[in-house]
Amino acid sequence: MRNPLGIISASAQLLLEHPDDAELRSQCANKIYTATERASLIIENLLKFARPQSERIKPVDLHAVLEETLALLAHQMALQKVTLQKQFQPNLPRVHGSPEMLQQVATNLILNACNAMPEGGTLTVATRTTEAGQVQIRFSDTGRGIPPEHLSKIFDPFFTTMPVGKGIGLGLSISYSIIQQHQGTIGVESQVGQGTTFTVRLPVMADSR
Amino acid sequence: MEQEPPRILVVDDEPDMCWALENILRPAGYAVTDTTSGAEALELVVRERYAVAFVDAKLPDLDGLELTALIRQQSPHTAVVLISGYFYEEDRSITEGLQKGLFIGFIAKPFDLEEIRRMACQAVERARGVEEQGG
Repeated sequence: MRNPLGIISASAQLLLEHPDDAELRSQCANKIYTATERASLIIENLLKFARPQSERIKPVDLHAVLEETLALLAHQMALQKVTLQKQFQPNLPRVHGSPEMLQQVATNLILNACNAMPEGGTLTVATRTTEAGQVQIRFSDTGRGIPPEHLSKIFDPFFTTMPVGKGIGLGLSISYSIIQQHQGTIGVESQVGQGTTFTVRLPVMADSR
Repeated sequence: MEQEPPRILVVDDEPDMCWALENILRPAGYAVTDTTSGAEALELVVRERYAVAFVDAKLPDLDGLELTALIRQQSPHTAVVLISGYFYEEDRSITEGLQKGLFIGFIAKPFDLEEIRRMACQAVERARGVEEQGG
């Protein structure tokens, strides 16, 4: 949103500074017009996103969400020499939720796993139904692991061990919040030098049982 | 002999933002080159000597902060000013980047034209100072 506003603002200031430059005046007017249309589109999309939660909640096929996320990240995983293993339980029950938000969680967890394996490794994504009747997704990597003293903080906003410019530490905090909104849980186990597993559990949709 | 104007590189994936910065900086006496690609920016800083690079923090082909670090590595005499419609001044990535000298200034969008000119002037003076010290 601030990008089109930046163009509108700069163009308007240039107009004020150079009112007699006809060519610049024409260019500025066009830039303002185009940027205003773009800003309007962004606001429209934001308003759609801000609609009451119930309008965005629907039955979600988690395998479809995971497949789409993995497809989007396939190139990056290949570049980082990350091997993918999928262990998907057939006929996994659906959950109630927002596919977009759940994809955001999957993206965050998969990217974190890849970042933990800078020399390459294996990412395992496994789904199953638990004994308690929930849907479980595990994201396991063979990366450097998380030191015990960091484990309690990793879901805190702005906690990051990444260098400057590589992330501001909001991904896991947002993922935690999204899973909570879905009445689910997210947990972590890790061994330094061996790898990390994030476990997401979500309630099964009533008519999926 | 007429001195060559200081060269400024503008890197922003929005062509209209490149246009705006060029129209702010050129009349102020700078030679401006712009690109919408981080990869091309890296080629340019190796090929030509730029006193300053205005770098957008979010580029589609390369993270702006990562690009900044690469520019500083490959062209240490080029001062970088980070511009962003995503970050704010108080964001940790920005405060840490300034503290570590990764970039010499940060400008949030939308901005005043004077901010851009002032930052360009400061950056060019700093680059001249570094050059005179043999840096």
